[in-house]
Amino acid sequence: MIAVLRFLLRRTGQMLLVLFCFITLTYFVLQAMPGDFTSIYAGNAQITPEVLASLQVRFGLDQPVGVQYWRFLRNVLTGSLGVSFSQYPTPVWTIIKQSLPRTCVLFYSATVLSFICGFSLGKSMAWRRGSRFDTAMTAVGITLYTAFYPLVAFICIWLFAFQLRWVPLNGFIEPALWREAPVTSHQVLAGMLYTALVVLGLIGATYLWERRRCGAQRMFGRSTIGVAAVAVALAVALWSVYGYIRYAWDIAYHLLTPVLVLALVSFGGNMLLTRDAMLETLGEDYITAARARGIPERAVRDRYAARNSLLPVVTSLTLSLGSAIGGGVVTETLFSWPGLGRTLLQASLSADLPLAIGAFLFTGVFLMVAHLVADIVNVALDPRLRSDKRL
Amino acid sequence: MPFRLLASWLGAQVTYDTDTQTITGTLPGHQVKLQLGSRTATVNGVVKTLPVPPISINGHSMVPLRFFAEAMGVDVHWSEKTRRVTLQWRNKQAILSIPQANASAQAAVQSALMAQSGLGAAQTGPKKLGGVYNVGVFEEPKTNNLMAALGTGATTWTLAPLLPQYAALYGNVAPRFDWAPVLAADTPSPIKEEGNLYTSVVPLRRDLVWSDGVRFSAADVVFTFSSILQIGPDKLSGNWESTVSADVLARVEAVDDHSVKFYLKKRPGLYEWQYGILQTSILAKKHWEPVFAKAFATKDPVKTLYAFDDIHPVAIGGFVGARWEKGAFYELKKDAKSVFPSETYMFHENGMEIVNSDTGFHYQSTDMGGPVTGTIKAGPLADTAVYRLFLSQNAAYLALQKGEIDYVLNPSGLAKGTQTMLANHGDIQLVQSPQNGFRYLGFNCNRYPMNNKAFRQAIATVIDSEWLAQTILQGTVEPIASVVPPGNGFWHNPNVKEWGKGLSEHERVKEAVRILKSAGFTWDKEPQVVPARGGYAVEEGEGLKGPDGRALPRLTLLAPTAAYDPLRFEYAQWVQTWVTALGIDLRAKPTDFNLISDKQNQRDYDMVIGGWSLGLYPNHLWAFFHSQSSMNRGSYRSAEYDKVADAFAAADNMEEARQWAFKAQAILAEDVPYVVLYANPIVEAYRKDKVRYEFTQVLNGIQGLYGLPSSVQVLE
Repeated sequence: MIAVLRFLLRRTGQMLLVLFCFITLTYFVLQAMPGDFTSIYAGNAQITPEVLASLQVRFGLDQPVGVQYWRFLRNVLTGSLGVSFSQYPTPVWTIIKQSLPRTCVLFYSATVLSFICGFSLGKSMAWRRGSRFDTAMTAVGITLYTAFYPLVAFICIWLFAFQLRWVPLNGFIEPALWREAPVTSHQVLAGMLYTALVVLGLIGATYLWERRRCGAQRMFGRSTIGVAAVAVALAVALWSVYGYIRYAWDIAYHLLTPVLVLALVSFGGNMLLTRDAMLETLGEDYITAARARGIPERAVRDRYAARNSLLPVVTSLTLSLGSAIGGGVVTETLFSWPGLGRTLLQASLSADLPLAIGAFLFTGVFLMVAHLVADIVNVALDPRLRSDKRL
Repeated sequence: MPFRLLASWLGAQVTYDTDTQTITGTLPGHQVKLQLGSRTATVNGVVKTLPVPPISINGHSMVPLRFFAEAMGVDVHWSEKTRRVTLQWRNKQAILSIPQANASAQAAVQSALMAQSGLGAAQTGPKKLGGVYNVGVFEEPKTNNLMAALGTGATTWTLAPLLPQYAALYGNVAPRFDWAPVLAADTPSPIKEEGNLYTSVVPLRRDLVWSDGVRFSAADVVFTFSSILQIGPDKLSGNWESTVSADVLARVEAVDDHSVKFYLKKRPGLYEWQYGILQTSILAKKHWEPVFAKAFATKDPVKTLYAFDDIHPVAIGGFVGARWEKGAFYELKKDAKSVFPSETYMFHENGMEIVNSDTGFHYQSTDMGGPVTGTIKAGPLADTAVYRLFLSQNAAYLALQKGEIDYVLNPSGLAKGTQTMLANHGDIQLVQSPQNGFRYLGFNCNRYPMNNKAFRQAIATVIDSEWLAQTILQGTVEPIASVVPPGNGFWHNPNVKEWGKGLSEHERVKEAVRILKSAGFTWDKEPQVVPARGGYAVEEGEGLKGPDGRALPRLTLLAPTAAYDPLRFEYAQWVQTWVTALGIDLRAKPTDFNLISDKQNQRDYDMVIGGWSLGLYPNHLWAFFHSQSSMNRGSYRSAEYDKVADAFAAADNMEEARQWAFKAQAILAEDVPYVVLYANPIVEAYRKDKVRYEFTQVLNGIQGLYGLPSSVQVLE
């Protein structure tokens, strides 16, 4: 236990050091860009140099870089990310909080979906190694994994949204529906996130309880499926009672294409990773031993082989979840889904230093926490690591 | 009739052969060839005789309207009574008013603008009211608070949904931009000297109500100006600083409920008074008073004021902000209490009148006269305007094609590729409008040899903007000569010096050499024009020395990168080629836009290719070129020019200001601190099956008026 604590402490210390270097570097790289925030007014004859100068004073840009950096550090240490220039005087934190639910809903749905698809397909592929299914899926996986993402996205939009009109073109809500809505999209998105968290938590807990009690004869036991069905039904019922279900549905409907496209191009990586990890485990002695003991094939596959090949995949998932918070500029742009990625890009381009650095800092912290979580999860999944003295 | 105006209205291709002075206009199925000064013309290969020969006036080729139009297949109708020509071609209609011989020059310019705006066409058919107008935008508003929107948040995207909610005492009524009262009832009284101050009384309208039901009165106006002065316009930054100058405005007092008296510290020029203070947006006192009070109680009042979240704004402009769904859309609703929907603007040949059929309000300008040339509704005509966010242009134009939005608000206009894509869509209409801005080659007159006038003139001479625009750039830009672009008709001086006009490339080199030589420049080896392969070739000069015998240093031309602006990049390459022929070592250097800006601010450059977007009132004549101006980044200094620019800035009536503006443009064209290169027209797209605008072609296009939410009818 003490070893674990010491490990956590050491990792946190390292993280803080890396974080300090990261923000300092980011700060000076952004500062080194020519021009400042007021450059956007450069071609406008109506904005005089006096006006620009007064803007610079207002934003503290007239101070030497050292002073500006010190002010910024002081802000970070006191937990304030400062005030955005471009949306003056909105605090950076408010802007991040605004785009965060949108980013989470989109990128977490896509990451989880791609993980589930990738893992189950990869498992089957390794199990039926050399079969036609394996070959075909490998080809599909590699093709999608290496496909030029914007092109895939654009083709999907053009085909499904523009030509077939099955899904919306872009955006995350339909204005005609929301003009008179009693709630804001921000509230609904946050509600959806909480609901998903509760439902998934319930399912996860039941799953773990069922495994411990009955062992893994099947991937999902009867109780898990039952609880899942009840939880989902209850959530839908609750949303319907309050009359918000159509707003949630509108967002889900807009979510469809971006999530599918994102999952389509990323599940290949998870799938191939699982396959390789699984193939490696299948060659281990303990698999042969398990078979020799007469354990059913399905149990050998799911309980012995799959659990051990889960390690690299879970690490990759945790890291993906960490980096997903930064959003994706390409996805957000193509689907007009204003998340953190666009905020970051826009802030960097317009030299809105506080917002750009705030967003970078936020994603940086998240990614580092994800690394830490990945380490902890690895320890939890792999008993060998727990006994390792080098912890 | 100017040939180019007519041809561009028809979308015809135009070529001009300088040697034979032949103009050719081509439309599919129609070709017309005319020769300047000759009465014979060729129409689709058949020789015909013209009633009068085409002539050139101020560089514009004038052709007989009826002959040319009919040759191109246009129906022409002339009405003696209204003195109007109606042109009908396919689905386009244009109405031209022919001024009486004694009408002022302004009327002529304005009627040309009116013809372009297609005002007449919009008059037909009954006006439908109601409906939702959907506009695609590329960025969210920065704020929903008018004070911040006109201060630090002043972007197109913020102003587009906010400005339709507010109004000023006076405004410029589109499409002709006549200066007229909005919240005021009539023109302000002439400025009087009173003690050591100057005063003017502005009568206010009695029929206006804020969206919260409170009657508009003098208290609102007094509150607005007093609050701004108290907080300090310079601290508010953005537009506040330039509209309400604390150097000019002393205070505002209410004379009674419906008139206010302005006390000014000096006799103001047009820019400070008619286009400044009097065009400041007015705030509702009841709504804003507590907000300001709270702001004044804090350490940084401006920050507190700008942080105010104005979820339920109180408006007077006809629209009122209803909902801002962050990341998705901003919705404006027609203000049920507004009287503007029953208001009509009637443009006369001279001046205009405003009539409100509901409240009986009536205004007519002092110079009003001549027949009515156009009538538009003040609006709003639609019930709702929704500004929808699209994060990429592709996404927005797909939505336009699908019919989800009616118009895309794009300040840079449609790219060539998008134009082609949308042109094939049956329900989408493309419109082209002149822009109020220009691109230029600027000299740093602080440095040698750019401080030599002849040097600048020689460079202006070798730059053949006309040829570049027509051949290489295929007519996407309009070459111009004056620092006030022709799109700003009233202020544009069409008669300024155009260096090397009408000369071919080698003639331009000869002329430039002559200019340099006569100013005392010498070469080791003079540039030579030699016959080659049926034409001429230029042998580059070497070792150019100034009048004092000093050799010219290597010079750098800063220009935006091809990724930022391919047109300016292209121009820079050509300028380098032409200037090098004179024996000047000039390198075009593609540079990041922000870096160019920095260098210009530090006056650390030789030459630069830059661009400006301008205001309606050409205050830049003072700001860019007066020796005392902080915006004079070319360090141009001329005592003669300073006098003219000062007189222009001090002028307090339009006619006088215009005369000085013309003079200033003429001097600048002669002295060439800038070689003005071109203006680019803006092309926009809207759904003609879903919306109809009161007018579409207007200076800076529909986007210049933020999507015209008030002047749009939603069809169906």
